[in-house]
Amino acid sequence: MRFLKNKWTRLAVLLVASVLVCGCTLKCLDIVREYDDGEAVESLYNSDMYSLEGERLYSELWLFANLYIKNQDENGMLDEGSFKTKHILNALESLGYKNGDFLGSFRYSDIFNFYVEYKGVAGYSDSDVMDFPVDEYTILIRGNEITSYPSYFNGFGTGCHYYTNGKGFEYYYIPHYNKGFAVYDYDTEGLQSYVDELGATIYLNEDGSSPIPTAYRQDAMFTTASDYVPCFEGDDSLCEIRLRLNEKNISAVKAHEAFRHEREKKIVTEAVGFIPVLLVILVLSVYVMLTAGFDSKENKYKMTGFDRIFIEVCVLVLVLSGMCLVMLTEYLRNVSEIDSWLSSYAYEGLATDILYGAGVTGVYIVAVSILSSFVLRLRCKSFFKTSLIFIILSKIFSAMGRFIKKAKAQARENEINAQILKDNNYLRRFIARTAVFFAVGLGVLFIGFALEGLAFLVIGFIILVCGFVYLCIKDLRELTTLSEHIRRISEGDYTEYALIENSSAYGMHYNLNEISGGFRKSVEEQLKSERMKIDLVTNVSHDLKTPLTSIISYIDLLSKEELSPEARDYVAVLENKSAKLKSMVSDVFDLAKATSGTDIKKEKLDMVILTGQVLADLNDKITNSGMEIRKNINADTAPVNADGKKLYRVMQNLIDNALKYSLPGTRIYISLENTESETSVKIQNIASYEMNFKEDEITERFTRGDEARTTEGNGLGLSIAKSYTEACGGCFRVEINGDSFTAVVTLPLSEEKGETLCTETE
Amino acid sequence: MYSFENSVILVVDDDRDIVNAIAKLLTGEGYRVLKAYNGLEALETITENEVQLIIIDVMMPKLDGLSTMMKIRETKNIPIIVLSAKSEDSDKILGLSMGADDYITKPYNPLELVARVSANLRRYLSLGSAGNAVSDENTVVTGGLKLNTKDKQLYVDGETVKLTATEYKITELLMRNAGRVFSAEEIYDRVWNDDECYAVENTVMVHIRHIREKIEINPSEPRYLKVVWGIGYKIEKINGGK
Repeated sequence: MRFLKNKWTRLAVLLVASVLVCGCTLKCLDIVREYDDGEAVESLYNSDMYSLEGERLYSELWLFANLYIKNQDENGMLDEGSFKTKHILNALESLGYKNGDFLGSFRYSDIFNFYVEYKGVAGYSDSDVMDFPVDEYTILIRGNEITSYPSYFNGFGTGCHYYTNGKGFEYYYIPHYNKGFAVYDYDTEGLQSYVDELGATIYLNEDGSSPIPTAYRQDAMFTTASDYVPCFEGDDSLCEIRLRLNEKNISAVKAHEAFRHEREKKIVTEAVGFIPVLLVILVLSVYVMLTAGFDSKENKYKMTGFDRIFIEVCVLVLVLSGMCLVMLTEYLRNVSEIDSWLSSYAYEGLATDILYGAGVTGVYIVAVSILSSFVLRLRCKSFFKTSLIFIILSKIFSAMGRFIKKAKAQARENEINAQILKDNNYLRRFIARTAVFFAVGLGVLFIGFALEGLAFLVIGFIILVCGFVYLCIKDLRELTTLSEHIRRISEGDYTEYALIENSSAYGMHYNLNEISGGFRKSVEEQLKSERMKIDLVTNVSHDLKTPLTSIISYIDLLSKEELSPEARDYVAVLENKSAKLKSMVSDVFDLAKATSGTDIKKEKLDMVILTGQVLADLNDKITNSGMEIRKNINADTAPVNADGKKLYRVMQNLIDNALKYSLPGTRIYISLENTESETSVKIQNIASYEMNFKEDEITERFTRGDEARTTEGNGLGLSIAKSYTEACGGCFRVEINGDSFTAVVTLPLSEEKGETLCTETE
Repeated sequence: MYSFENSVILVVDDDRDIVNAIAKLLTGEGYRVLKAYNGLEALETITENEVQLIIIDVMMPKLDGLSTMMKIRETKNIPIIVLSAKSEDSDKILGLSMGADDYITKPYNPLELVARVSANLRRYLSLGSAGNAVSDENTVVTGGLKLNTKDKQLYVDGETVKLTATEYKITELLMRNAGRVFSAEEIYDRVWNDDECYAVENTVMVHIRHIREKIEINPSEPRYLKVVWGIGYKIEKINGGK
């Protein structure tokens, strides 16, 4: 199969096909030549003689019928003494019959027998032939129209005309002689006359008018520029003329037909012989077309440079080569000279053969190549890509598309701008509407009174009021959507509001959307940076933990070694500080997590219980510190929805702080109070040092009350407390009043929906 | 006291210092220690040696700790302690659900590490089969806790723990209802049978703390007896304790 698709196979096949085409062409030429030779044998029907003779005979017979037969008496003679006969004889003389002797100068034909009949009186060419058949060799003329003729008949000019005004004036027109003449059945002596365009002498009537009616004269038609044919209507149908080939010519025609038939049969036989060859050529051509462009190395169809020539160029080449062939054909008619010159060396028609064979084969090759290329292009799906027109069109279309798109976008933008600029036009609209309402209302009133129609008045007013109210409601509804939109934004829902295109509130909605879009973006960015911060802290804290693990492990191992008392002290310091470092790392991590609020597991719990639990849990620590704690729980229960572990941490940190920084001997007050919607836990203590910091500073990360940072603690306690409280949906606040330090944790009670209650009181 | 001096422990961490420190620590406790520095080495080591316990880090090159653990679990039932710097609850839950018996965060407390190792070993070696861990009429079991209600004894990882009468009552209440959260009042009502409710929270909490100190390895990070902040107390229900 691969072999079949090979480039060289393809070429060879094309060559074979071309040779076949060439052969066919030469054979065709032979046939054509033979046909031409046959055509050269002229048929009688095609000869000029046939039609000329026919026309002449017809004209003379017509004259014979109309002048002689029509006017003859019972004896077959013309009335010698009448004016008419005189005129007829004159006319005949003018047509070339000597002394008007029509019968004497009548010429019989070598070709035709004839038969003429007028009003039942007939004349024959051969009086023996009584039976004059109307058959395939007969031309039958009734009046002046050929009604029946042989199949090969080429036709000739008939149309002899006769006219009479019924008052003795007759006009005859014979196209064969291109002459007309007039016959008068009265004395024309002394009458004025003129000669018309067909040479007929027209005598005017005594009153000076023409015997030819004006209408006819005016209708005179000109078959050529010089021909003047009076368009008379006369009754010609009385005359019937038959022309039939005589026996000699019939047999000649028969012989010719037989010869012609024979030759046609031969040509057809030869043409049929071509069909298989043509089929072979077709198959080979199709094969070449279908396999065109197959690259056997790469095993795929591939376009070459030739296949990238514009399609239009290919088509043009094809058409041009076709036209060349046609021109060649024309030209070949004139190469007989070269032919005859060449014929002395070879055979006649050699030049034709060479030129024709080469021409047709060339056109064939060009056509097949171009069609193959088209097939290949279709296969490679780049048929249109190689079309110049298509490329230009597609460029134009895409440019237009771009333009339209741009224009549309521009229009849309303009529209939006217009909408935005359109400020609140409700008031304007309302005033306009009210004015219209009043005007129409007054109109209704007047008309109502004028017509004295109470019903009209009432119905008109009802319709008006309904329309007015409807429009007002529509506007108010739009305003309602606006307030809905604003409510959404105020609730923190920054999603896009669906715009209503043809609403007057469009501009306002649009602007609100812009605002909320800005918010959304900034919130998203904030979240993103927060997340990055958390990731950073997480990674850093993991990275810190690994070396810290080693440090703690080895300090532990070191402490188990035999050491001098001094070294043991040092190890104790190391142990202490590494533990602090550890707690700090974990605090930093916790803080980062708390800020993100991702690690919160909310559940229903009771702040009263939680406070008790924390105090119980820290009981040892409290006892050890020597501080006194006063509990003041003013509620039986304080259900909240929060993360217990986190709140435990908050409380623990606050109590730890209080224990750490309280002035010895003072008391720490822990109180819990419920309001309608929230519960707050207060932890109050007297600081052991001067609190020269602001309330909001202390909850910042790494801020500590004592700036010297001598005591334990890392400054994260309060920030963790704040972050955790807020993550649980609560609010953390610090109040400083002299030496009194109060931390307040406020949480929403869970009967209420959990909402952030942080009111910035500071 | 059981003795596991011949137990072989495999320590896997990509930080050689940490591996050495743990090895030193455990050798000091009388265990034999094998070392591996990534998951693949760990897998090799356990096929070549008889290992009774594995301590494994999570973040390691080549094959991470969790994948290694899953591989090991295909064939072995030995206790695995995950030692990781990841300290979030979700990390712990993930580790435990993927087959770890225990989860210790870095930086670890050396004493706690030793305690957990011995607890896990004890459970694995002495209580080994699941048969012992099934509750019957007279015993209540959750995780490594076993309460014999007949002779009123509590065993932690097979070791007897001495409890006072009140502590025992609280433990029994919580263990019989493992997983359920009891408020302080409820516990007080049912254990003390006393209507007088003064400083209930404190009283209960003190007992809870005492019990914790007895049954938990690290009382500040309890495994069994947990405070549910703002609600009450419970003993975690742990199925199929080894």
